[in-house]
Amino acid sequence: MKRFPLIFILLATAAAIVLLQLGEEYEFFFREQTLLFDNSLSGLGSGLLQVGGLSAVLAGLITQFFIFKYAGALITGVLAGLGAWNLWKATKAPGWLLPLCFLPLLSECISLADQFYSYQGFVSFLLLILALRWYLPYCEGKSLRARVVAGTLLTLALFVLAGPVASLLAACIFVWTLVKDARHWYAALIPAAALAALGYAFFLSGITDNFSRTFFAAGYFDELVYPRFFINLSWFLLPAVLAVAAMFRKIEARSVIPAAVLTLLAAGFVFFGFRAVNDPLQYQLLKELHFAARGDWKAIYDDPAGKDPNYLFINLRNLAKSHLGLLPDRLFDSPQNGAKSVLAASTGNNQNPDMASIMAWVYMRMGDVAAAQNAAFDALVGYKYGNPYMARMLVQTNLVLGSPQIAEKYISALEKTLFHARWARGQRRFLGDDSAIAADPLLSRYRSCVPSEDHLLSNPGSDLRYILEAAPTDSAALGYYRSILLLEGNLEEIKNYVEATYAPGEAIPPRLEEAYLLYFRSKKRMPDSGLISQEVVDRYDSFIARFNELTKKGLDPVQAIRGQFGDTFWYYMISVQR
Amino acid sequence: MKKLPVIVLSVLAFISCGRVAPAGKLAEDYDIFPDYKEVTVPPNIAPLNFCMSGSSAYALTVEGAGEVFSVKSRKGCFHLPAGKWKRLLKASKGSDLRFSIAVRQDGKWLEMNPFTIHVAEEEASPYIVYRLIPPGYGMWRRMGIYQRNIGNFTQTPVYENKLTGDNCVNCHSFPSRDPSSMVFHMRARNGGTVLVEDGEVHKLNTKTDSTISNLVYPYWHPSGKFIAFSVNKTFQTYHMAGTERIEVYDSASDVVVLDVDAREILSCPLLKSGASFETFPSFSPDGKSLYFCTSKAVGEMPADYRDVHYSLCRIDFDPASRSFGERVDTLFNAGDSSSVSFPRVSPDGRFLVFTRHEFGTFSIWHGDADLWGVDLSDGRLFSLTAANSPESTDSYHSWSSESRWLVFSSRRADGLYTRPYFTYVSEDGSASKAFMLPQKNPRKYYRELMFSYNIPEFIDGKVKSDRHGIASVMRRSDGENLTYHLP
Repeated sequence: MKRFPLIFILLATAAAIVLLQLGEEYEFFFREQTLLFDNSLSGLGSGLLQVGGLSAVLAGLITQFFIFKYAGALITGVLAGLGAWNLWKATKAPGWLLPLCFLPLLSECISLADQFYSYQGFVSFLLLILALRWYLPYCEGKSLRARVVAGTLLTLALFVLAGPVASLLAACIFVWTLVKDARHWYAALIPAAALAALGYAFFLSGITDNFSRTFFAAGYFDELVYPRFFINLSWFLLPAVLAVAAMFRKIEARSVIPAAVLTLLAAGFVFFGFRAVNDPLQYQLLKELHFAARGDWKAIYDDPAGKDPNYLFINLRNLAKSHLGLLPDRLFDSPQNGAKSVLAASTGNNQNPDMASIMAWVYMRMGDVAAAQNAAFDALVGYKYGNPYMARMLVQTNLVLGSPQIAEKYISALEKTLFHARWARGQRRFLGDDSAIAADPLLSRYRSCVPSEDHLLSNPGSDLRYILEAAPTDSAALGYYRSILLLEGNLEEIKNYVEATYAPGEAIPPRLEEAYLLYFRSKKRMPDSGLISQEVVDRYDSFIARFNELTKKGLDPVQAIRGQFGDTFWYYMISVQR
Repeated sequence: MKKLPVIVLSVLAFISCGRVAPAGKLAEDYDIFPDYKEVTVPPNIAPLNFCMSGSSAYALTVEGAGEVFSVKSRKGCFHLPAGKWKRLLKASKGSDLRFSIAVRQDGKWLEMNPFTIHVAEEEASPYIVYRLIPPGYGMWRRMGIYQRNIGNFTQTPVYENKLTGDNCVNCHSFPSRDPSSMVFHMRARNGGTVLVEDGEVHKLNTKTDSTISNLVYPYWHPSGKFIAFSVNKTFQTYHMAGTERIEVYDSASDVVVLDVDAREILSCPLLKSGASFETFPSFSPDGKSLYFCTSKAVGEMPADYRDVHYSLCRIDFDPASRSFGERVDTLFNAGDSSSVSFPRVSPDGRFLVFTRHEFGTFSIWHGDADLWGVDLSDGRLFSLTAANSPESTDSYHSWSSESRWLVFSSRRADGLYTRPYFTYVSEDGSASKAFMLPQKNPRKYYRELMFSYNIPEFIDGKVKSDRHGIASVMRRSDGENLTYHLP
């Protein structure tokens, strides 16, 4: 049993890292993605001046490293292990109780699976354990007055440095005193009373926003979302662990059984806790937002989980197809539902920063730079801590649209981050240098898409017409424009477009060709333009024959012919009409 | 080690006494940020710290009436000592300050062209209140209404939206610059209008069956018993190209007056016409006139957004009988080439300053927006040319108590983020070159600040705001409903 604590903590930490990597990898990426952190001395200084500023600054410093694969899980797992070890050391509990000390930290790790629980909450919890690590041994043999004074000062200091978690410290001090020195239980209420007075003063003066966010775990949860109960669990577990540790402090186990039981308890807690917090659909979205931010379009396209019929996923999947050059040819190889499949919302009617990010990427890909700029700005300010990837886009849009002073502002902000600074410095060469912009393939493409005449933004389809007037051969804009034509299903418009765009014998994108044929078939005639190949006509005939056959048999053709014709415009039309 | 005292003394001498003996002159011109060259300032303004465009060693000597002090730059920025600055301004009322700068090149101090700043006799109202908001208006997290003592660098919150669920707070207004009462709106979560009367907080539900929207743009009657508002159906869209970003337009709007004590909305057919848009009301200082902007309602918005041109109009208002005149006077007919926003009469009743732009209602997003004035004694129309910037928005403005100072918002610094600027309006209506609100380290501050200053309003004292009380009322109260009265 002597080596058990060390072996356990190493194994448990390793297990926590694996768990975090498997279950929360994209949560960590997302945290980095939605943090525009200011590492300058003045930025850190102003951060420290807030209530809970130290934990916020530490969380910000750490979160930036989550840009690297495995870093989030590794750092968080190690910190959780160290936290558990220090908690165990603080209580001087016997080795077999160490698994119990791991429970509150595991609970915090699981809470991090909720994107709205801030990393500051986790860091604050660790600072609390550090406070206990000092306070509990300090109390040994000290007078009641010394304990009360130390406890009170420590609680108030923790409130200023780490925020609401100070309430938990006050609770821990109370519980510890109750178990160890029940006669003086009332004295242990003094830190809590002092904290209540200070917190209430902050609350009344408007420094902190509301009562529960001043004193409880909700203070580390996004204020726009109702906090889940689970995030409070570590706050119940910690005092309970302290009470158990104090009560069983002198009881050594004679076998590994108690430790094994507690380890199993911790494992069970992890299993059920993670299931309670994890939201697979939301996690999938974070995953795809990560791939989009990194420009890993193949990862989005290849991910079978991304075929969810939610518009956010459809938008991202079509964006990936555009980047891979698959629009509109492969438009229908995943579910589509009208023109919103390209973009579910438009600027001005959206209040969701995730949607705004997607809009920014899609608009930018279309070449709708002004719309991308507005959406990127919304996403930048819509996320509580900003978004460096949207700030990058704003650098580009402002360079393209001729606002170098604004671009410079975002460059300066990015230069204060750890891992976006290099990119930002690289953009300085474009400031006020149109020839450098013209020589850059990406920026010059965007600039070529800006209409020479101003129009008010309307919807992607209308905007794309203006973009294509400015850049008629832009393949991304064309791909999107044709996709929208197909998704809207207006056969008359498609026919006009095809005849205005293609000469006889010229290759037409297959999906457009299918739609063009459908127009004439719906009129019960054949085009004389020479724009349709026999192969498409034959395939359409077999589609219709199969469709009629299944309908006659009373079977659902939409389900039955998906495998054979699911990629065609004809199939899309019958599936959306159902 | 022997050299240490010498080094220490040299450093101390460098820090404490910036005055240098130039060995020659440098003829070339130079820029400073903010541009304080040849501006006029009130004698109660904070130190005008500024930065050179380079980062060499610079020394500055400021001379005024019987006072002089010198400072050396830190990273190209001058931080003027507050005490000396205050004494200098006090002594120099009505005269010029001379700013002489020397730059160190090749080990020698070279004198650069000096510039002057004129100190006016009249002080400006001591505080400004403004909203800090990300300049997009589509999405936001943090925003708040803040006040700044213009005599130093202290900014304190009047209200921050974090107290009410990151909602939108907007359109703050005070009765004749009196900080003891104010009104502002909250939208989204905990929505309603906040009315603070002598420290008492009320929540008003301002939509009635007879008005097209909640109350929007406010202006207090000088008695404090009425507040004029517009009611607007407002929309926002975006430009695809060019320098403009956002277009805000109304598809309908009217002007109403809130009787504060009776909690009753008053209007009249002349302010509530379906055939026209009425907006941006403001009272005259004697409270007998109500100014507003009006345009013919166009066929289809936003398609015809460039065809909307607001003229400046006036109607009588009798506070005793709570009635309006039967005739609308047009002070400035916008025709089809310009449009008017935000009429504001100087407290002495002499001038009316408004924002003039090519078309539409929301001048804040129009680069061509400039400040113009009307001399109400003779109807003379004039541009505040020296205060305006040639290419950027100069818009929302507010008068100081003594009718000589205007604070307004301008995008001239970078084209997007509005900053407060001050201009002196002389007795004949001519404006001085405008200067930016001073900051401790202006270059760093304005570069890093990701918020726009929105609706800068002069007030005559500090707002003693009970932020917690406001939040508490807005969260818990159902609010007081208003009634509507059309005579």
